[in-house]
Amino acid sequence: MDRPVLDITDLRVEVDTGRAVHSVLDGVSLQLLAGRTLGIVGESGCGKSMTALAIMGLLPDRFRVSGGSIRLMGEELLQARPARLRALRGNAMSMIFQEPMTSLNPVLTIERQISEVVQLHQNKTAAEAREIAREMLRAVQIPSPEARLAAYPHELSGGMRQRVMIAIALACQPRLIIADEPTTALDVTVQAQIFRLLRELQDSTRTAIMLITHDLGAVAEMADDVAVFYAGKCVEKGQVDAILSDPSHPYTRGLMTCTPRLRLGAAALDAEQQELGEIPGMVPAIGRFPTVCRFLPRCRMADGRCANTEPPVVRVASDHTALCWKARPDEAPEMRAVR
Amino acid sequence: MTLLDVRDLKVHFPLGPDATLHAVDGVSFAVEEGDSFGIVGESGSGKSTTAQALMRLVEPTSGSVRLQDRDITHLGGAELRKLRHLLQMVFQDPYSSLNPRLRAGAAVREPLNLMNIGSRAQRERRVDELFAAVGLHPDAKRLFPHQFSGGQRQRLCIARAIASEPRLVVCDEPVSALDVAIQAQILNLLRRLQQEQRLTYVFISHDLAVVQHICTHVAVMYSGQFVEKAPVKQLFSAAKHPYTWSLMAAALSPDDRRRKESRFTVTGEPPSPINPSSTACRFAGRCPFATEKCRTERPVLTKIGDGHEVACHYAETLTPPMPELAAA
Repeated sequence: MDRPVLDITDLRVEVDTGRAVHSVLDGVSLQLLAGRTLGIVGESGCGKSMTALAIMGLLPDRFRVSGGSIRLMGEELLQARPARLRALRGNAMSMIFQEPMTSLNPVLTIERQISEVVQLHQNKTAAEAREIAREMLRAVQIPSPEARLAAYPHELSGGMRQRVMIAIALACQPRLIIADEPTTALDVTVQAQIFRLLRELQDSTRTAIMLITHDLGAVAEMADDVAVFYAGKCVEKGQVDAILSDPSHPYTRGLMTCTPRLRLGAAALDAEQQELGEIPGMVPAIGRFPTVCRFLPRCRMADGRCANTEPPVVRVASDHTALCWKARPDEAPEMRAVR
Repeated sequence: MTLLDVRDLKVHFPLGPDATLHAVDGVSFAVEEGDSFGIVGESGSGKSTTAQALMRLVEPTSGSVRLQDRDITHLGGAELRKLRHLLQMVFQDPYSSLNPRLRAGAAVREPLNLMNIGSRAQRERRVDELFAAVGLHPDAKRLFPHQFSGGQRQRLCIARAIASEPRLVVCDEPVSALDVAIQAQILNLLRRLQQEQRLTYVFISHDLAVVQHICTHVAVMYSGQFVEKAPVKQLFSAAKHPYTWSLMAAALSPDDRRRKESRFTVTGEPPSPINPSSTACRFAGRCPFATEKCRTERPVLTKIGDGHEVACHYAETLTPPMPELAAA
């Protein structure tokens, strides 16, 4: 198998509030392969975006990595000096943020914002950078790219701005793109266009994509592999088909049952509207994560063992693990516990 | 009994001597007591403006809104206030729709105070009932909005909206700002309250799955107008308008990992609502089926079946590009 583009092992992130140090991410291990998309799902406050920021070396004040390793193409990012990280960011790895309006500079033209990253990282002349900017706009299917080069962000619609963000992210042909809720601010028909675009670009560039989303539908549409986050831990991961059709962790199962499904054609006629499944309660705030199993207070399956002993990483199938005593309850836990 | 009857509602905003923004451009619908009428569409389609016009939070330019056979389109301040207890609203953003300096109990009691409902002791009891009805602990009455999570705040907003025992509750994207697990809790709550209290909803959303889950009738809105309107089962089993198809095709489901390549997508983005065309179908620019007729003649909402209306010249002849719908 290829060497992973990104290899995260046992990543730990803490926040120091001044009064106490709280765990934000605990023991997160992920791998991204070239040409594949890893979907990261979970509710707000589960650590999805913090994982992305830790990879990019952009953790906010008071947050710090307290353990583990993040390797990009084999290079340890946690040991890298700031200058090295600056050289990698936007070049070998880049990020697409949720809100295209606030992540574009309102006083610079589109051309300047795309060519800036190319000039900075790739030693191109202004003329070459301009040519690349034009090519990128064409690649992200912006109509009349010539005219758009001179435009400012406010002159573009939300969908167009997100295309510009993607153009900037792709301009240096990165090995890794982290897309943090890239379509949440967009309408569904525009979301469909953006997803199609990302897939086409990935097919031609073999870029690894980390797609952070709260939408299991987006995961089904885009991801090859999935990692489910809950309260700072990766509670389940595996290939998309396994996770979505046979979820093992009670949290993943809960997310599946509380997502309303569109039923079209004949399916819309039968089946009266049923109650949605619920996960009681909510994600605890940082600093209030339960010890032992963090999902325990919301879990309907929990028993005494869950309250007393750390849940094991259970291998439910090859390439499919869940952090739970109750994963596959039909087998004896001792047989499956691997660490 | 028809609770709400809206006829040819228009909301236009003048922008200058020769520019007018047509936010809502002639929508008509009636909602029976106990039903939920959903309005779906993308941002800028005029859904929220329609909701606000029903509530008289923006002035309708023309058309009429009748509630329980009373024309409320032009009611003035005092008369409107007398009817306020009948129609209430739940907003999208539970963060900005609660007064940060009012304790939760006071926020829910406020409409009762303003509308002079009950004695002091009765109001206090009613607040307790409401907290229980929306699943909040009575101790939470003492807390301020910032001490609640988003889902709990939306519960507060719902408690406040149903405090005066309204007949009609207008919900404008009530779950869009919430996480999926919390969204399910709130949707179940809204349905339970509807059954218990025989509420009537106008439910605005961009999410087709949510609308299918909670509504009995659905209208699809595009560029200020309804392009399709039908009972919920009819719409989702036999939609006829290409725009409705594009919304359905763009909706993603965790169960469906096959459609990747074949998904029906439309290109482009909605047209500007400023001085829109009155002689063409507004979807024609994005519609893969559009013909010359679509660009020169505006289709009107036409009845094609039991309660099913479509504004498309080719509603009866086009074949849906989605296998589920084509089979039906």
